[in-house]
Amino acid sequence: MKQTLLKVENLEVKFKTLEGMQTAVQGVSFDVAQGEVFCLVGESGCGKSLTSLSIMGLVEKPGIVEADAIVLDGQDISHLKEEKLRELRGNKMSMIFQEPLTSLNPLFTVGNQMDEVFRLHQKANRAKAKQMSVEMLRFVGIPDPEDVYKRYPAALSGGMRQRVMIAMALSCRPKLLIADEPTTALDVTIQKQILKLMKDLRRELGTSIIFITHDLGVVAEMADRVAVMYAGQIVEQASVYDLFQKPLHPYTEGLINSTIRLGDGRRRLPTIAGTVPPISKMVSGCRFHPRCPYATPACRENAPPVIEIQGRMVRCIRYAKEHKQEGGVHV
Amino acid sequence: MSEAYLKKEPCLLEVQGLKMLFPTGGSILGKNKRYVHAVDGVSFSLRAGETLGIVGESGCGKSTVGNLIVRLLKETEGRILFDGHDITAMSARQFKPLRKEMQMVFQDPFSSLNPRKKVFDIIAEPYHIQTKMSSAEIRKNVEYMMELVGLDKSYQNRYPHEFSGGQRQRIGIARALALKPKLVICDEPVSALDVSIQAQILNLLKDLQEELQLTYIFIAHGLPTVQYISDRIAVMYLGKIMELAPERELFEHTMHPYTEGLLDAIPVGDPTKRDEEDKPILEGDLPSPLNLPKGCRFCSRCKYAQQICAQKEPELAEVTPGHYVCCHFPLIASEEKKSE
Repeated sequence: MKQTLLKVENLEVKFKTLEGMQTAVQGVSFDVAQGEVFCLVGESGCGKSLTSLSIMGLVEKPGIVEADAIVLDGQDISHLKEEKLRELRGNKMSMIFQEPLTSLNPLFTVGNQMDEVFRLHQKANRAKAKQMSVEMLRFVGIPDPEDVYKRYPAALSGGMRQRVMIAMALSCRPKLLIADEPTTALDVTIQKQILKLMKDLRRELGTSIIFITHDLGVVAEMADRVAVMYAGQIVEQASVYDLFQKPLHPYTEGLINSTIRLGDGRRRLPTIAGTVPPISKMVSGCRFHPRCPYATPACRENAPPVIEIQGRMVRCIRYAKEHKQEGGVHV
Repeated sequence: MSEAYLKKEPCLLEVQGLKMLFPTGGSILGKNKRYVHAVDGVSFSLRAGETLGIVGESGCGKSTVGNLIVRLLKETEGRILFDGHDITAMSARQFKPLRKEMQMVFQDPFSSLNPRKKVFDIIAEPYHIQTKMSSAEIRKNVEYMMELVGLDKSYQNRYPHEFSGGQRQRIGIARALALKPKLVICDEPVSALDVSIQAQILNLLKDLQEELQLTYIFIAHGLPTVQYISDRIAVMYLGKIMELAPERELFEHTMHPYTEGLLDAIPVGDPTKRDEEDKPILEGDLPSPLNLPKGCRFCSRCKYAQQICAQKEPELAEVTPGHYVCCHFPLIASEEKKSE
C-alpha cells in the first residue's frame, strides 16, 4: 500500500441562507495515496467541486467548512490560517478550475499571468519566466504559443483558455493537483492529449491527482479509485475496475448505463428519471430514492447506512442485510 | 431512427459551396486585412425526415454552418436552397415566412433564455411574431408544447432561473418547435447537461422527430452523441467537410485519417482496456485558420501524409455510394489489406 498523501475525514460544507442552514456536502471521507488518481464523479450540484475547494481552503463566506481532519502530507490543514494556506497553495497543492474565463484575469495578458507563477514560486527573472511560460503553453498543445503569450484571455477560445489554466497549474509541479473538470471544455483529440499529459506527469513526478469530472469515459481512462457523489454525499467508493465491472449503488449503475457509447444508435438509452433534489428541499431517507428503480418504503424513511464490502464502500440499504455496518458511521 | 436517406425522400435542404470569411486585423482603410476562413466551401444536401450530424473540434466552423442556414449570418459565397427556394438571395422580408420552417436549439440553456421572461412568454413569443392566433389559442398551444417536451404546465409562470439545465433545455426545445418547423438545427444541445440528463434530452429529440416528422441538423463535438442521433454524419475540420457518410458506414469503414483520430480519442469507457492498446493519439495542434496550410488542411497532423498532400488540396469525392471523403489517400485501401 502506498503512502497516504491526503486524508479527508467527515467533511461538511454548510451555507447560512435565508432559509436556514443548508448542508451542501455531508459526511465526506476519503483518502488519496501518493501518486494516485482519485476521481470524484457526479452530476452538477452534487458537491464534488465544493469538496475540492474545501481542501484548498477556498470556500468563502457564507460557506462554513467543518471537518474532523484534512491531513495533507502529514499536516492537518483543516484549521490553518489563510497565510499558511497560501504558502501551501501552488507549492504542495494546486488546482485547475472549471471556469477558465472567470479564473483568468481579463485585464492582464496570458503571459503576464503565467510569468507570475514562475517569478513568485521559482524566483525566475523576466526573460527566464517568459521562456518557461511559452514552454508550458506549448506543452499543453497551444498552437503558436508566442502569440498566445501576448494575448488577453478574452481573445482566446474557451478551449484555449482552459489550456492556459492547465499550463499554469502544472507549472508549479505540485504534490497534489486538484483538477476540476479540466477537459470538459476541450475537444476530444485535445482531451486525449491532456489526459495523457496528466498521466505522464503523475508517472514522472508522482503527483497525486484528485480528478473531478462528470464524464465516466474520462473516469475509466484516468482513475485508480473512484468516489461517486450524489446530492452532497459519497454514495459509492471503489477501485475503478470494481466500479465498472459491478456498480453497487443504483445511482452508479444508472450513470454507467446512461452513458452513450459508440454503436448505441440502434438502442434506446436508459435514463435516470427525474432530477437531483435541491439542497433546500432535501428528501427524507435516502437522497436518491425518488429516482431509484429499487426504492422501497424503508428508503423513504431511513437514511441508508454506509456499508463496507470487500474494500469498497456503498451507501445503500440493499446491502445492509448481507453485510456488517461500518463502525462509527454518520448517516 | 428514420432512414430517410435511403428512401429517397424529397430534398429539404441543399447547401452548395458555402463560404464564410470573417475579416480580421488590418487598418481602418482595409489595408492588410486578413480573413478567417470559418466555413470554406461546404456542400451537402438533406432529405426530409433525416438527421445530419455535423461533428468537429472547436473552430471547425460547424456552428457557423448552422448560423448561416438559419440566416443569423450572411454568407460570403455559396447558395442555400431550402425546400427549393434559394434563401441566400432573399431579403429579410421575403425570408420571414420561411423563418418559421427552420428553428434552432442552442447549446447553453442558461444564456439562450431571457431571464426576465416567464416560461409562458418565452414559448409564446414565436406565436406572437409569426401567427395571428388569439390569446386563448396561444395558451392552448403553449400548454400543449410544454406537455410535449415533458414540462408540467403548472410551471408556465416561472422564470428560467427556477429550472435545472435539463428543464431549461426542454423550454428551449419547446420554443424551437412551437411553430412546427420542418428543419431544426440543434447546436450542441446536450453538451452543457449532466450525463443522466443528456440521455433524457436525446431520447426526447428522437421521440419528437418521429412524432412531428422533423428534419434535424445536429451539431456537436462528441462523436458518440452525434452517432446516437444521426442518420448521416459530416466530419468537419477547419471549415471543410473531411468525410460524409451514413452513420454506420463512417464507423465501420472510416476513410479519413482525421475521423480515425477522432474515433481513437474517444475514451473507451472500460478501465480494463485503457492501457492494453497504445493507440497513437492525434498529435499536434489545429493550424490557425488565418494561415491555412497549403494543400490538405489536415496534412500537418496526418500520419499518412505524403508529398502531394502538402501541395494539392484534395476535393470531397464520393468513394463508395453515399460515402464522401476529402483525402488523396482514403484509408479504404489499407482497410482492405487488413482484412486480407
